[in-house]
Amino acid sequence: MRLGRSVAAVAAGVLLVGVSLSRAEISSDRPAAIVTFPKLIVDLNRGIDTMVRLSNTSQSPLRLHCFWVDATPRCDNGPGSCISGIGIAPTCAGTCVDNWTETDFRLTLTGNQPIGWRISQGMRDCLSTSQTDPSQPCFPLDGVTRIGPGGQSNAVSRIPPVPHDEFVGYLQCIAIDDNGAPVERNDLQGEALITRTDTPLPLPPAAIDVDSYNGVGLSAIPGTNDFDGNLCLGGCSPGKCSVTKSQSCFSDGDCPAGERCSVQCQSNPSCPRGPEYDGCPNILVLDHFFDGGVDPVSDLPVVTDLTLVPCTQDYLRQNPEKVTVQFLVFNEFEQRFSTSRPVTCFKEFQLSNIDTSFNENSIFSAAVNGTLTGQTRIRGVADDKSTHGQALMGVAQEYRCAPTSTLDNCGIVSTAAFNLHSQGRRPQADLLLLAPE
Amino acid sequence: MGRERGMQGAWLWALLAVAVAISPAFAEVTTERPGSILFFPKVIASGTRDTIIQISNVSNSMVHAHCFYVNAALEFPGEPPGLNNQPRWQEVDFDIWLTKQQPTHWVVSQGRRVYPLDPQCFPGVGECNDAGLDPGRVPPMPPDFVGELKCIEVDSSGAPISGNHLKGEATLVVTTKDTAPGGPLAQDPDDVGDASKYSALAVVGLDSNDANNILCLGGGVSGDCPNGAEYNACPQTTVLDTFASGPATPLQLSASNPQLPLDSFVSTELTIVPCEEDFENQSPATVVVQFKVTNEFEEPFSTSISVTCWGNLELNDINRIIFNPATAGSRLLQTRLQPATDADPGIVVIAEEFHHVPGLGTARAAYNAHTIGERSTADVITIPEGP
Repeated sequence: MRLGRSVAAVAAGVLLVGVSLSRAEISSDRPAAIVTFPKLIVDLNRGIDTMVRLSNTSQSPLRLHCFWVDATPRCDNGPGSCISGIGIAPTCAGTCVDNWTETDFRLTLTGNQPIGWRISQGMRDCLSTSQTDPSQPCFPLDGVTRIGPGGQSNAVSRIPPVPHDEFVGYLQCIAIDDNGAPVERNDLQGEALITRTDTPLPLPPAAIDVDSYNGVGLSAIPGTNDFDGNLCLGGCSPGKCSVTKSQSCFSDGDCPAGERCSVQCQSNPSCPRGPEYDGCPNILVLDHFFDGGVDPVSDLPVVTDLTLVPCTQDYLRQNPEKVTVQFLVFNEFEQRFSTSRPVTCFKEFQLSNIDTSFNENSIFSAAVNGTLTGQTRIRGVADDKSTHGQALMGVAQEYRCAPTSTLDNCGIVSTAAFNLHSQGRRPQADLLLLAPE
Repeated sequence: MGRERGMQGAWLWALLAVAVAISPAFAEVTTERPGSILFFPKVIASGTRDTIIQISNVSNSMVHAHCFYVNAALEFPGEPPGLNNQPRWQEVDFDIWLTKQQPTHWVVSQGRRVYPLDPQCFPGVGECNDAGLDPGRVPPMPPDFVGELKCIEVDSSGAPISGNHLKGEATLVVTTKDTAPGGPLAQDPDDVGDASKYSALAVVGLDSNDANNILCLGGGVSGDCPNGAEYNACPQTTVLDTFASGPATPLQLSASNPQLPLDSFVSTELTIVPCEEDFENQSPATVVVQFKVTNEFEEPFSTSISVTCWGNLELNDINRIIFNPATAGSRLLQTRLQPATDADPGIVVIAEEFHHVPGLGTARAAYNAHTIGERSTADVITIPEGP
């Protein structure tokens, strides 16, 4: 009996250590097979553009299938633009109508190659670009006049510019093979740099600001990808039947009569083999200054902008995903507030506009909370459908405003973007649905 | 016997349940997760810049943390470094405790006092910096402070635990204030308020923590680490995408941020901290860091440098040739950093870009580095023994 317990305890220790060690290392950032940039913006008249940097962390060439998603609301029945945000007021004289348009493209990164481009301009090979214009980065290894040391090149790569000026949206890139099928290669990393000048180039700027954040990566799980157009992000991993070990299962009902399944969860018909990529987090955690709180170093008021994108994306049917988002807010007194807001496809909001249009009375305002900083836990509400997980990814930007600013009208002095933290996973998978090649 | 089999069966089911419960949690979105040790590699309170530290408890229980500042400023900050002017590597530690889900913050040059009557924020009152439940007494750092902050989750007795309840951010802000009496004000008034922000690097604690004062990050069983790894290992390789650093030549104009004027240029600072640290004996760790650089033409370069305790290096200080746009021949570079040998300690890295426009000012942007793999050898942090 004692021996039995000891053996079991040792086995438990070994298993625990084994499982624990297989967990991810330092929770900074890692290269991945899918990288998403949740917020990209172009507004050339205001001197705003975004540079995307991508790099291949392996020595083999990496083929990518990328999707621009234009989430700029359309201005109907009138001139002007619907782009809005902190420091940007919409000029639309008509009605702003939600819009969601996807444009996709493919490119190849050679071994360990970094590239970067302005999203307002896209990127072509340097042969067809005026190489004397430093504002237009181009693919250097065109495959004709120049190839890399190992014979690799960027041939058959072209990145279109975003569809129009006054653009807001996101970019998602997926590692694929030469046939366009997703591959299990966690070799992609990237950053977005949002640059602001107060005048459009080539006019000399009177002020500059740059902020950057890392692309949000989803790692492929080796040995699980079925290489179809349904990419399963997280969800329940299949178990084994208790007697018929060769049979995988999600619940007892999947096993022969009388047998038990080692896991009990709801199967997803789109993911018969379980997750192919890491799942999106159950909860996003954002530490932030409450809007209107004064930065004790610069004495400037601070407001925060939050961008959220659902993890489920249907590029096949162009169906924007709608998620109800719960926000749970804690101030430095451990006092708790909450609110909710639906997010369809893409949403960017100033924190103190999540629950009200009257910023001063928001649960995200410093005056309401009484403290300078807070922690907000952001959760996409799961519904009863097993086909998708309603999880989210996002990024935040902190704006320091001129002293005379009001909460709803920030005179931008500087910005700082940062990635959100994440906690936990959920049993439902999110899906990326791609059009067949 | 039958009962024994029953017990063994129960154990096996329990094992299975544990394995099933644990396995779905092994990896998430690769931005940031809470952990049990927070590294803030770049902390500055040096006259023209100050740092705001934000830490929060992501659990529903009270959390304690033991924090260590390491002051890596030179003994005589205004003088050039030399044999008679070495970095101080001075450690100062303090405790904080956070209630359920509580966020807290402090300014490094000011610290945070314990005073329940701190004025709260309300309309028209800007000064509410210390409002909230004070996390404990946080000492202010001296005006010339440059260095790092580490916070380690502990229990109420001060013993390290693997709770994984901490997350944090650091915001470096160009100050309007002169934190050094008699020292310089912000160099360019246009830069005042410019901020860059990064997330603290969190090391996830494992179930094997023996709660003593020797913290084992990765690795196997050894004399110092009888249980093997108590925390996840430091990364094997750190990967950074950067601009080539410094002004370009007239023939190499395409080296800067393409959205800024032609005479602009980018310089990048890397802050490198060894994962190994002996706070008990105050002995700084030294690591030789190998840099493998690839430009946009897939052309490789490499260099190395030695870092003791804390290093904040502009790329051109590491190597004036391979990071220079004229010689690198490329606007962008991918740089892979790793300790030269397994005997060297692991490293954590933060990058900060400075986009300079001559005559106008500088915009700063900090970002976390990407990491690949984990070290097979242990890094050990030794904290002072408790009372």
